[in-house]
Amino acid sequence: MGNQRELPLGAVMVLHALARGHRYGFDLMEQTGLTSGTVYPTLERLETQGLAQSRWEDAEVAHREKRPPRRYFRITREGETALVAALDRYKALAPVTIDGVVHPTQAKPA
Amino acid sequence: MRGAWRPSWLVRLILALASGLVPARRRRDWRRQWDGDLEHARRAGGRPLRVALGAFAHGFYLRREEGMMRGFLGDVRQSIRALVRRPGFSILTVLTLAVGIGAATAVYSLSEAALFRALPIPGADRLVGVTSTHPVRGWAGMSVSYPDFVDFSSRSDLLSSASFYRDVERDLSGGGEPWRLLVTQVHKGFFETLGSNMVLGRALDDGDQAPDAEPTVVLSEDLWRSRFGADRDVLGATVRLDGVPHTVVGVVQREHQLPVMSQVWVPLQFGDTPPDWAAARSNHTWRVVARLADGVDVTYASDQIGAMARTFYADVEDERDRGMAAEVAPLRAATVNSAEKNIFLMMGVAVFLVLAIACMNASGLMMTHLSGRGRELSLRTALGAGQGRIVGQLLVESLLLALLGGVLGTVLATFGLDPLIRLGPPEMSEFLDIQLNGMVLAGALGISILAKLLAGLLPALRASRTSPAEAMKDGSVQSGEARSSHRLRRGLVVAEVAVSVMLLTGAGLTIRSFQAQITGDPGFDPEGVVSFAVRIPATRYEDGDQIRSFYADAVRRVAAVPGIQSVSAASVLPLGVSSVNIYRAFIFEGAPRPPEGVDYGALWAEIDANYLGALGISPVRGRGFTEDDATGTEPVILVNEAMAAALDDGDELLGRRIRSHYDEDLPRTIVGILPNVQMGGLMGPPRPTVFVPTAQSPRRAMVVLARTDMGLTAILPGIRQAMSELDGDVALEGIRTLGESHRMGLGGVRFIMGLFAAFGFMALIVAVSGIYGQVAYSVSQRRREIGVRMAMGASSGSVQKTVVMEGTRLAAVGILLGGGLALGFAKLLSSALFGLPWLDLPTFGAVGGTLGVSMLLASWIPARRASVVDPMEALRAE
Repeated sequence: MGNQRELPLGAVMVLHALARGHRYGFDLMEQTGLTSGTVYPTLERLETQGLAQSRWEDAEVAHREKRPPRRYFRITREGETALVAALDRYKALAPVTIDGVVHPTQAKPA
Repeated sequence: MRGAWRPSWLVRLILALASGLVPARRRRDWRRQWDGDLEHARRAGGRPLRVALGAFAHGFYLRREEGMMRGFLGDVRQSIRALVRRPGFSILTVLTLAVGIGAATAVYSLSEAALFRALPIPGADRLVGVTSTHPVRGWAGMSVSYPDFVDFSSRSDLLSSASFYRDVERDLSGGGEPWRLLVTQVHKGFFETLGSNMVLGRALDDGDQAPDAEPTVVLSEDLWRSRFGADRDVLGATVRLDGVPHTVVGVVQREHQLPVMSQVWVPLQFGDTPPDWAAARSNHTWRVVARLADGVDVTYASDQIGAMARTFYADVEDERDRGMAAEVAPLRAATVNSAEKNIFLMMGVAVFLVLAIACMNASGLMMTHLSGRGRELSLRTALGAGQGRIVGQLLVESLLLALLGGVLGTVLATFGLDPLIRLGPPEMSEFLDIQLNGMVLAGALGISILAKLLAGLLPALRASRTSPAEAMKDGSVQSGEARSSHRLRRGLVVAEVAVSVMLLTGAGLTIRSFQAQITGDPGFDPEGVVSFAVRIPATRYEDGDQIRSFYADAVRRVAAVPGIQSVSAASVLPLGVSSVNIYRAFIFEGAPRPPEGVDYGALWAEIDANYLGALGISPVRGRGFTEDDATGTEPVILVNEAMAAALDDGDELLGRRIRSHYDEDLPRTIVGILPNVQMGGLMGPPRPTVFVPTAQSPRRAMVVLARTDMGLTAILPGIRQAMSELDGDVALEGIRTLGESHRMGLGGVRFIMGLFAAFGFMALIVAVSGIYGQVAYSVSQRRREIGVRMAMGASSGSVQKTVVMEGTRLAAVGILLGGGLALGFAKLLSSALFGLPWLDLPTFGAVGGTLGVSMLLASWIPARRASVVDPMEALRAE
């Protein structure tokens, strides 16, 4: 549903972090540098769009570790496809010279 | 959560607020997710608070996804409609908040301006004064000696530059009547340290400071404009100070007039090193101004210099100086004494209390109001409005009310402050252009919005969670839900009464404590006594004999003016409008000096033999002074009752000798005890005072008092003529009746008193109206029940009785609870209360009584209204 729409950068960053195996809100914040106010709505949107999936942690595990159960997120097949497409799109942004300086992240196109 | 960890209250508050946004069917999962994530974030070393802020965005997202969010503007529109539909509630809430916010902001800004106004010049925050203190004796703000100055200013790591000065009074003459001025004598580097800007000419420089230089003078811009008509040719002109010619070299810009009261600056002409008299360690006469070195703050400089002085004075030879220390404080535009500081402290407490009462009432109103809207909200739930939507809308309503209150409060504070100041005495007018303190405004606004949101959230959640079917029954039968909301309302009334009792008691105590300080009996009749101040220059009146003969002559000549009955000369004007008060510390003759012995501080006043007669004061015991108490006779002293009480050790005081060990060391025999006459200020309890005969302690600056049965204008020409015949170069200052002096002195105090009374009244009105609203509302909610009762045959009297009895019960519980709280609160306040025991029964009684009576009225009036309507109508009303 709706994944033909181009993903905003925040969503791409969250998907990217999910693809690398990060599963909780806080880890995603750490990885992406986004605020919690961006990460949480983004996760919901990704799930609605079918690009990510969440499941509740086994209650017994949580109980054993004496903590509340956690909601895990992971990237879906569609999510991976969308991520690759998005990264391709960003790659299309060719190296650019601003004020005579080649921007380092864009200096060597992948 | 069953884990050991629990989020902080702030995080829980955030989650509680944000949960209002989340659609009901997703709220449980939402909350579980946040519990899990916050716990994980904490384990992973994150800050839960930072993470939790995302809960709002998360809630908003879920809500929008649910398709319920017609946008914030839609909520605002709906809220405005809801508020307009209930104008009584809305207006009351907004006014309550506005008064609280406006009063808090205005008064705080005013006190801040009066207390802590910085000098209006750039870099003023680096300018400091250094003063001596004596922590053991509780003395602060004392002038320092020259060796102290040398020690302090040697710390160039703390002070980049420093100089000293002292204020003296001089008569300016040349053209027109002689004019008494405050003259600041400054040492080298004074103007450089301050960085003063000149309107004309130059500041005093090192050449002016040379001991043999021609006397020069710098004028203030104020004086230049008022006395010299802003004439630019004033440079190079000659003015006479006490008859000595000085050449004008410059005019200081108004903002740079320091110290603020100064009008004229002259060089001390010490050159590089002061003469012996000025440099003596025991001569504490100099005020120090300094500029802080870069990177040094006031506290640090004060600690360092204080420690240095303490070390030095710990074992100084001269035991009178032992135990002294020093402190550094920013130079301010206004100097505040400790009594005034206390007033503003109390004022702050009173204002805070008004704000607290206002917030509480607004919150109480909101809660009562919402619990009464249960049916409407349930109806909307039944029609399909989601829970989140209803909570959201109620929160928007709260926010709107708080904002409106805040805006109106700001308007009140902005436009109310100037008229308020104009009502006050003329001295207050210097505060006319003060700015409202933005921080305080924001704080007051924030507090009221928070209070309002919290007050709105609880009932909003409650109301929105009610199942529609059950809530719809609410009006018809007393269901469980209705009973519990009734319980909530009763609980609210009790809580509100209790907190009001506590806060009003606090406000009442501060007001009464203030009153206790200023309504001191002057101790004599101030009407019919005219006074004026005279100061004769040392240049022409060198020794005691010349001074004595001048004042003896003055008294004789003024007494000869027709219409004047008796005349006296004294160093201190009663009723405390004199500018200089001298305090001395006394010990009994033969008693050891401190620290082994005890000394008694007292205000020192010189009076002549006519003084008591002119004021109509008679000694309580012993005698007053006579013409025989002169130079060659036994040194004598009178004490007032306050001093007598301090000295009292069980033995007869009359005939015993005391001496001021600190600076005079001459034993004097106590020959009489005078009633307490307010001297040296109206604030505070009567000060211990000692009186010595002018003849035994001649002083050049005196006040002449004349008792007359004619008006001031009738005798004034005669007085002027008599004095100018005696010495035409001497100015007569502050000619007025003592009654007038008294009123002037009271002016500022009365203004503050008026503010206090206004606050007390405001607090009372806000509290009583809040309680009235609360009670009346709960009674009106019971109209239907009352209708049923009356339909069943209850008489209107018995219905009224039931309702009033319930009101009384609630009042009693609330007042008792509040009394307990008030006791604790009063105990807490006791350190800020002066001249009043914290357990001040009149205050407690008045507050309890007033609230009790208003509770009775609040339940009786609506009960009566409900009981006179036709039962059928009351039943239909729902």
